[in-house]
Amino acid sequence: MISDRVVSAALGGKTPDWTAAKQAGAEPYLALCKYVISRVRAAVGEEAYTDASLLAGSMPVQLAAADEAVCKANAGQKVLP
Amino acid sequence: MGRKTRQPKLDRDSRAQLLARQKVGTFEWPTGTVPRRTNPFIQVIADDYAQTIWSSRQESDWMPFHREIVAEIGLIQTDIAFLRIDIDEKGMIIDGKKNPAVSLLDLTTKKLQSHLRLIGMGGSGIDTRSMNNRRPIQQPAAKSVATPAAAADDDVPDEIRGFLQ
Repeated sequence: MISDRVVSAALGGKTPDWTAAKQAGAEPYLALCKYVISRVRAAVGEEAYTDASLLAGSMPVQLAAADEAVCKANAGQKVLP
Repeated sequence: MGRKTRQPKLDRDSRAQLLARQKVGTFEWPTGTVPRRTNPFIQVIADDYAQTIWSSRQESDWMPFHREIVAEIGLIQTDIAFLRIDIDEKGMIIDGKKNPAVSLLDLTTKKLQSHLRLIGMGGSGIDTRSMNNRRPIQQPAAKSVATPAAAADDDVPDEIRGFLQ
């Protein structure tokens, strides 16, 4: 289970402002998603991250959305509607 | 004229277990290490799961300790089945609170994954990506973090610096 506290710890006590990033557009939002996810992956370990990302409700909704966005971008799809 | 030897009368639970064994096949439960469930109904289901996994490989392809892990997996899958029934019946939210079965299901599923990895079925037997649209596996991130705080401050890209509070 990756909680908000884990995300904050991985970012050195900071909290991502998802709403502001979304309002700024797809590019900044994707950059934030990639950064936060890479930090969280490094903090919790690859296996734990994969397990959490596959189980519904195992990570904060915003982080799950960020994960989804990165996957969409990798697949060449639109990140934001 | 020989006397017929009388079979000892089995109690209800033993009879149920015997019937279960006849029904599900030949999975032999390891003695001592894995606790058997006292409820014969649960035992039937666990036997069934264990037997299914056990029969997926040739007998000679299993390592000696695998029988214990497969037995554990049978019990874990039974737990998962009952938790799913509970969630289906009561819903994810009960009286405004999260159903405790949801957290238990999460934990038990992770336990199942770790057990499957132990018998080498984590990646091949079950494709977990199918749960999330078969998305591509991402490359692992580089582990260059000495302390999260220091690293987070150092390499934040300029374009997202304003979005971290």
